[in-house]
Amino acid sequence: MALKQLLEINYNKLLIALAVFMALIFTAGFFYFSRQKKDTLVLIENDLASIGALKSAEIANWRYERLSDGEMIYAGTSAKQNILEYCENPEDKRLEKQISRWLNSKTIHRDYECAHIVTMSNKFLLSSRKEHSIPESHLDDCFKALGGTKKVLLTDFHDAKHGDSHLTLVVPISDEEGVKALIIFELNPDAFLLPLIKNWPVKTETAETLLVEEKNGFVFFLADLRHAGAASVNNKFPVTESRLPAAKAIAGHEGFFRGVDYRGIKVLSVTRSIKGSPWFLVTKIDESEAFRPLKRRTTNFVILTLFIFLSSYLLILNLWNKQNIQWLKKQSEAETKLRVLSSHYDYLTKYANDIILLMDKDGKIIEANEKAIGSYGYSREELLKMNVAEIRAMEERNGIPEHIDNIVQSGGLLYETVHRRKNGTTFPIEVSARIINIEGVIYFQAIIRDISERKAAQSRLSEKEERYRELFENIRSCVAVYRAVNNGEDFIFVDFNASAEALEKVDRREILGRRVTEVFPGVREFGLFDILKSVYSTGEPRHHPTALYKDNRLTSWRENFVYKLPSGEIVAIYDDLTEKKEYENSIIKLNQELEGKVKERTRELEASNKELEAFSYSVSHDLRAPLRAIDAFTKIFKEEYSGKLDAEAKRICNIIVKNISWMSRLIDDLLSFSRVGKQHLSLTPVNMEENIKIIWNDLKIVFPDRAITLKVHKMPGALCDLTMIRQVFTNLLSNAIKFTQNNSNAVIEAGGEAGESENTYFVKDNGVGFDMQYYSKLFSVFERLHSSQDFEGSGIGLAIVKRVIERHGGRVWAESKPGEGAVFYFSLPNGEETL
Amino acid sequence: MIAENVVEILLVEDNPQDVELTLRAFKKNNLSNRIHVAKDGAEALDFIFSNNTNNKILKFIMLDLKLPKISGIDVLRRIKSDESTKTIPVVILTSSKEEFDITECYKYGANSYIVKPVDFAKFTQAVSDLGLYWLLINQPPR
Repeated sequence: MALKQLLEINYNKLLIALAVFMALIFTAGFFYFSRQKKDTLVLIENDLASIGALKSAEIANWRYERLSDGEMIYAGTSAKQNILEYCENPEDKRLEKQISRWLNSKTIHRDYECAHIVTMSNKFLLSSRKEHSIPESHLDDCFKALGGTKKVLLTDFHDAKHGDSHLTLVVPISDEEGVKALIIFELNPDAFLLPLIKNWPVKTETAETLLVEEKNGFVFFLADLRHAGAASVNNKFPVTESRLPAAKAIAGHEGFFRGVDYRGIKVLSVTRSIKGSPWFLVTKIDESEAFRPLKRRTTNFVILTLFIFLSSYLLILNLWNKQNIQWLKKQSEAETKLRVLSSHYDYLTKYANDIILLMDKDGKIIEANEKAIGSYGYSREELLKMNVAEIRAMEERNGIPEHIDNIVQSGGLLYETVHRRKNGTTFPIEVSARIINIEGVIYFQAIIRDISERKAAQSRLSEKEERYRELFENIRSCVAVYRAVNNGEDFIFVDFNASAEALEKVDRREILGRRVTEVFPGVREFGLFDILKSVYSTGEPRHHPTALYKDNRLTSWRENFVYKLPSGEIVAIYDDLTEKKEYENSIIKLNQELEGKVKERTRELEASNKELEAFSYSVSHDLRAPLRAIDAFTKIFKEEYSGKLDAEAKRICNIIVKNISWMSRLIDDLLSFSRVGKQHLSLTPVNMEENIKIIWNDLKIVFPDRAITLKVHKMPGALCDLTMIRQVFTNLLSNAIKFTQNNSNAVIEAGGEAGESENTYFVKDNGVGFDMQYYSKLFSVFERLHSSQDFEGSGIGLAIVKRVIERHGGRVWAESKPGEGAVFYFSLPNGEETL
Repeated sequence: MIAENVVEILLVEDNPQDVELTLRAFKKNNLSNRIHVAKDGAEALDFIFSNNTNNKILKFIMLDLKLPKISGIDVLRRIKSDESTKTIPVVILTSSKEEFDITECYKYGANSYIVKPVDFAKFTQAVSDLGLYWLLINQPPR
């Protein structure tokens, strides 16, 4: 893949750049290092030179001082004279003593270890110390060096008897005749000279000072060597050894020299001769020490640079990889997008509903979509060989140059023309043509739509228009069409149908183009104006319910339906509802009157109900109290005055009591009758057969001496108030028991059957019965068909039965003949109906 | 009418005949000297709440419902809502058999509800049973 190669090349380029950069840094480092080395050398040279100069000056100075001491003695008189005399007369103890004291005084100086007087015949006359350490050879050397002269002499190093290295100061004592004796001072170099040489002003590991001289063609190290111990002194180096700084010094070189020292190690050195002596001074330091700081810096520099190089390399590598990955990702995304886009584009053109053609500037077709092939009937190959003019209808071809001119001038053009199929038929089209520029070459693109349908529809439209116009004019509802003006602040009439003209009593020619507020001044109060505004602004249809329109010309009820046309015009369809409204109003009025009446009645009814309640309550409470009093006091009277009352009086008392009890019962019955009317019904499913039996068992107790047969037939259950229905059965069964009391073979039957909408129940007896001609009185309050002597009773039992059944929505009736028993029926609705 | 000894029964009754009959019934059981009679609701409340001793020694109260000034129901409510009197048994003795009155009385904490029988013998029996039960048999909390 070219992309990968490109990436690799860029990567290599980057690496090369990095390498070049590193080379540059190293070159610069090298030059810097050289410069630093040079500077270091100069610095070291200066140090070595100044230390060497200082030391050699001091050594020279020291020598000078020693010689001056000798000169002073040499030139002196009294001590010299004493020594001369002593030489003449060695037995003179006084002299000897004097000289000894003098000698001792000299050895107080730190450099002088001891002093001796030696005759020319090598005889030690006197010593500051008992023994001397001067070897014979050295004494000979001294004499040799003097050579008969009278000058003060500082000898070179020699090995003392006890092994140490020593120097001697030789002062000749002479008179006119010549030298008679020598004063020899033994000098210990350890006292001053060697420490001076060994001493170095700064702390150092390798730096040292060498004091050398030439001896028999070899280099001779006078002082101890810092390195390698004394053994190395035995190493003999010829003075011709060119790399040895000491040899170089002996050879006469003064100044800086890079060489190899007695250990064979590279050193930097400065050499110089010591004035007035055969000695040479070498100050030197190992190159390794001298260059150590520089080396350390260099090493640090190299490590740091390598580290920087390495880390930048890694960083770049990392960044590079990341960027590559991102770039690759983007690249692949872009490619995917492009692929998707191009496939989308393919679909667009392939399945477009319009013909799409691409022509070159001469009108030659160079690309056509599927639709084009389908529409014209030419194959793709045929189409691509044709000029666009060939697919135009003959009569339309003259227009081509003009169209092309227009397209070229304005960049694009929309026009209608007629195209021709392969089979010669033609079809109207709409063309959207434009110029496109693909990489500098001009093409025409044409999107062509078959507008046969549209053309046909246009011709059909006029027919429809006519139809709707008819509808508009003949519809019974009124239609007004408005156009908003002043941005929806007012509306002018643009159309008005015949019904509207008739209702509003206007001619449309008078009102079209005029404002609605002007033609109908009451339109705002009517409420329609706000509706028009709302529909105009929201586009949502609105219903304006029946309302009264009123101005000084018209008064009528209208109901409007308002909506917005796609053209933005507002349509109001409305009807005159004045007649309907008037009719409604009269109904409302009637209803209100009726409602008022109902309310009034209800109020009256409620009031009378309340009165009835209060009435029955006071009957219950207040009527009983006096009865009780009458009863009680009659009895008390009868008891307490029984002795004074005759039989008749007692009988009367009994009558009073009996009537009271009768009245009490009447009151109770009346109250229970009124309660039946008042009580709320609580309906529950009731098993009639079971209840009859329960009630019968209760009643039997009241008539223990009566033999009555009860036959209970099958009875359907009912949805009713249990307490009340028990009251019904109690009353009916009590009646049956009562009216069969004279029948020794009394039979009472109860039964019932389910009907379509109601269940019917009956209680039948074989008692005295009644005459149907009094049937109308049967269920009335306090009406009795038999005398109370024959059958006692208040006459309220059946009235209660009737009331209970009627409250349940049922009916009661009875059938009987005197002496043939009676059947009492009642029915209960078996549906869900309640009262 | 005010008993000389300790008052143990309060009879609230406006009808003088009923009062006489009640007292008669008690007399037969030697209980009449422990009865105080209030002729209306106001008098009854006055007797119960005017001094602290009365409500401590009362064994029970017989209360008619239809009373002048303050009705029996209201008297019952006052008695049963006061901490010091709510444990005193209250027996409603009335002519009313109305379901409404009965439920209302029990709702407010009546201990018995007795309908006065019209028959004098039954009445006497009822009243003397009442006195015996509440005075002798019943164990009040103390």
